[in-house]
Amino acid sequence: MAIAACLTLAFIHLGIGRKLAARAGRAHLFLALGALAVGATGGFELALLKTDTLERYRALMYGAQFSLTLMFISLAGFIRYYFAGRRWLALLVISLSVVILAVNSIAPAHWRIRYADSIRPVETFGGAEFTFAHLTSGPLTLLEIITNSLLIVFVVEASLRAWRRGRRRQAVMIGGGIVFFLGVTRSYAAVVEFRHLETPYFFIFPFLALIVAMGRELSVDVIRAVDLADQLQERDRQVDLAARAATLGFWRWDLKSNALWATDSARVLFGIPNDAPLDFDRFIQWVHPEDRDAVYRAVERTVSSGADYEAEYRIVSAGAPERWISARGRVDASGDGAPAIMRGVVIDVTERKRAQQDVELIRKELAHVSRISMMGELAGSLAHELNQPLAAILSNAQAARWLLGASPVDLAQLGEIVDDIIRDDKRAGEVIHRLRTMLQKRDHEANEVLELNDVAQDVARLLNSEAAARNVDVVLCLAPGLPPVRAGRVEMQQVLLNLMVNGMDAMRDVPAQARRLTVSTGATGEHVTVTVADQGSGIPPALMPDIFRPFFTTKEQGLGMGLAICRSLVEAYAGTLTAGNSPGGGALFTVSLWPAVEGKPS
Amino acid sequence: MSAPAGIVHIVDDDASFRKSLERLLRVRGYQTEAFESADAFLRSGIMNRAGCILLDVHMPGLDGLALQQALARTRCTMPVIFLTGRGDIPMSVRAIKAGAADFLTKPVDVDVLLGALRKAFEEHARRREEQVAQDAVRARVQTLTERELDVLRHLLTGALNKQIGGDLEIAEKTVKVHRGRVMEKMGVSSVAELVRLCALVGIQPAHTTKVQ
Repeated sequence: MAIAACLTLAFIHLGIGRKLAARAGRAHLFLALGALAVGATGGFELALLKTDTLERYRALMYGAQFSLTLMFISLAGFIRYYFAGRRWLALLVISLSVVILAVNSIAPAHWRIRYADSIRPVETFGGAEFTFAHLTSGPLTLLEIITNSLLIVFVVEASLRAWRRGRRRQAVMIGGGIVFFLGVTRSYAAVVEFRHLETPYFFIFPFLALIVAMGRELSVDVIRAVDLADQLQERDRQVDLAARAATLGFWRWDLKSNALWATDSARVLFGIPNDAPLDFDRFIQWVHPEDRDAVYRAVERTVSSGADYEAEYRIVSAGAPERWISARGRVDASGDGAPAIMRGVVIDVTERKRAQQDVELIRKELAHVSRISMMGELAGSLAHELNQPLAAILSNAQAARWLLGASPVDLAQLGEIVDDIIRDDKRAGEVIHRLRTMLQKRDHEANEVLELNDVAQDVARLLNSEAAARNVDVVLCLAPGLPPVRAGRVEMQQVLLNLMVNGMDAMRDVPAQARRLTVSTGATGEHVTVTVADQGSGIPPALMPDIFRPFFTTKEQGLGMGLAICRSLVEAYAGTLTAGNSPGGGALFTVSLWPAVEGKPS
Repeated sequence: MSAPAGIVHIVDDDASFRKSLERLLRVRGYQTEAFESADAFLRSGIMNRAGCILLDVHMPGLDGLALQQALARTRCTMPVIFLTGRGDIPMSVRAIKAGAADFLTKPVDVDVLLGALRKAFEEHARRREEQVAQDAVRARVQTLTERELDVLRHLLTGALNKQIGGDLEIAEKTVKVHRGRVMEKMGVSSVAELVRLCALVGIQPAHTTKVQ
C-alpha cells in the first residue's frame, strides 16, 4: 500500500515537475525520484522478509543499495533546488554516494556495508514469521556514515538560510524532518546491525513520512502559484486598464533576436496594426526622420552604459497628424552580463508638447523683445562702433583723392590706402552683421555647437564702445581648450550682453579707474562656465532671492525682465544661471552649460 | 598751398582711425605724431611744441577731457582740438569752456579739419609769441632789487616821485634814482610802456596807504 502511494506521488510530481520552470520544476522531479526510490526500497524490504535462501537475500540486499543511494541523491537534489542549498555540498554528497555505491557493488564481501553472513527465520508476535539476517559491516560503512553526516550538514545549512529568508515553516518541516529521520534511520540501522533488536529493516516508513512531508510543501507551493497566477491575471487587467486610460503602452525588445513586442495600447499609439510583425528596424520607420538620430543615440547610450533609456520623438503615420511620444525604459542583462532585453513604456505627450511649444514661442518672443530693447539702449555706442571704421574710411578716401591730384601719382601708397579701406569696410560689415544677428527673430530651436570663448569675445567686441564710453575696463580671462557647448549663439550672446551691461550699470558710482568688468570662462565639474564679475557694491543678501524674479529691478529705468529672461534662456539649454558676490566685493554671475557631447540632453 | 609749420599730435585709441588720420594729414603736408592713449601722450613729456593736439574723448584709461585738464595744470599752451565719434552738447560745452580750440565729430570732412588745424596753429603761434614776450619781461623783472620793485609797483599807480617817497618813507631824490634804474632795467622810455609790460606779466600796482 505504501509502495502504491509512493508510486502515485512519484507520477504526480513528475507531471508537475515537467510543467514548471527550471528551479521549482527540478525540486518536483527530485521528489518524484525520491518517491520512486522509496517505493523500490519498500519493495526490496518486503521481499527480504520473505526470503528463505542466503543467496537470494544477498541478491536482494545488493539491489536495495541502488534504491537507497537513489533516495540519498534525490534528498540532496531536492534540498539543492527547494532551499537553494550549496551547490558544491550537494555535488559532494551525490558524488560520494555514487562512489560508495560503485565501490560497494564490486568490493570484496568483508568490505561491504550490511553484508548478510547468515539468515534464520524469526517468529514475531502474532505468529508471523520473517527472515532475519546476520549482517556484517565493512570499512565502507564508515564512509556511508560520513556521507550521511555531510547530507545532514548540507540540509541544516540550507534550512537555516531558508529560515533567515523567512521560509520558516518549510525549514522546520522539511529540513528538520530530514535531519530527524536520517538520525532515526541511522540509529535504527545501528541497533539492528549490532543485533540488539531482531526486527526487519523498515527504512521505507521514515522515508515515506519524509516524502509525504516534502510533497505536501511542494503542493502548497503549487496551490500558491495557482493563486498568484489568478492575482497576476487580475493585476494584468488593471494595468492594462490604467495603461489605456493614460495612453500608455508597454514594449519589450529582444536585442539578440531583434524581436519587438508591444502591447495593443502601444500599437494603437503608433497606429501599427495588431497583427503586423514588429522589430526595431520596422519601429524606426514610424519615427520622424529628424528624430531618428536622437532615438538611435539614446538606445546606444542605454545599451552601452546601462543607463536608463529616455527619448522623445515624433511619430508619423500616413493620414494621421504628427504625434509626440515619450519613451522610457531600461536594459536588462542576460546571465553573462551582456545587455539582452530592453523594456519600457511609451506615452503620448502630444498635448504637453504643444503647450510646451506655446510657452517656448512666448519665451522666444519675450527674449527677442528684450534683445531689441537692449540693443536700443546700446544704440549710441553701437553707432559709434560703426562710426569708427567709417571715419577711417573717409580719411583714407580723402587722402587718396588728394594723392590722385599729385604728380607723379604714388601708386604704392594708394594701394595701401585701398587695402585699409577694404579692411575698415569689413570691420563695419561685421558690426552690422552682429547687430543684425542680435535683432533677428528666431523661430526654430537654435541648437548649435559653440565655443563660449567665441561668444565672450563677440559680446566684448559689441560692447567695446559702450565700455569705453562708461570708462569700464573689460578684462577677458578665457581658459584655453574648453569643450564646446550645445546652445543657441544669439541666446548666449544675449545673456552675456545682459550680464555685462548689468555689471557696467552696477559700477556707475565706482571711481573711473576702478571700473573693471571681468569675463572669465572655465570648466567646473562637468560644466563649461562663463562668469561675469563687476567691481560694484555687490548684491545685498536680502535681495538675493528676488533678483531672478520677473519685474524685479533696482534700476530707475529698468523693466526688471533682464535676469529673468537670461535665466530662462540658459535653462532652455539645460544650463544654470547663478548669482553671488565675489569675496573682493562686486556681483558675480555664472552661466553653466553642458559640454556638447553626444547623447547629452540639451 | 603749404601747411603751417608744427606737429599735429593725434591721441586716439582706434589704431585704424589713427593711421588713416595720420596719412591724410601727412599727404596734406602736416607733420604728425600719434599716441594710442592719453597716458602715452603724457609719458612722452611733450609740452610746448609748435602745433596742436587732436584728441579723442572716449578712450580707455584717462579720457580726452581729463587729459585736457591735466595739460592745463602743466601750463601747456598747445591748442586742443577734440575729435570724437559721439560728442554731445554738454560735452562740447565742457570742452570749449576748458579752453578747447574746437570740437569736431567723426567722420570729419578734410576741409573742416584742416581749417580747424590752421586756426589752432595760428592761435598757438600767437600764444607762443606772447609767451616769448612775457618771458622777456619776466627776465627783466628778475633783475630789479626789492626796493626797485616797490618803486615800480608805485609807479604803476600813477603816483608822483614825491608821493612815492612819502609812501616808502624815502627821499624824493632817492625815488628818482630808483625810477631811472627801473626804466633802464626794463628797457622802456615811458611809463606808459612800463605799464603795458607789467600788464603782460601780471604785476599789480601797489596799494597806497596815504590818501591824497
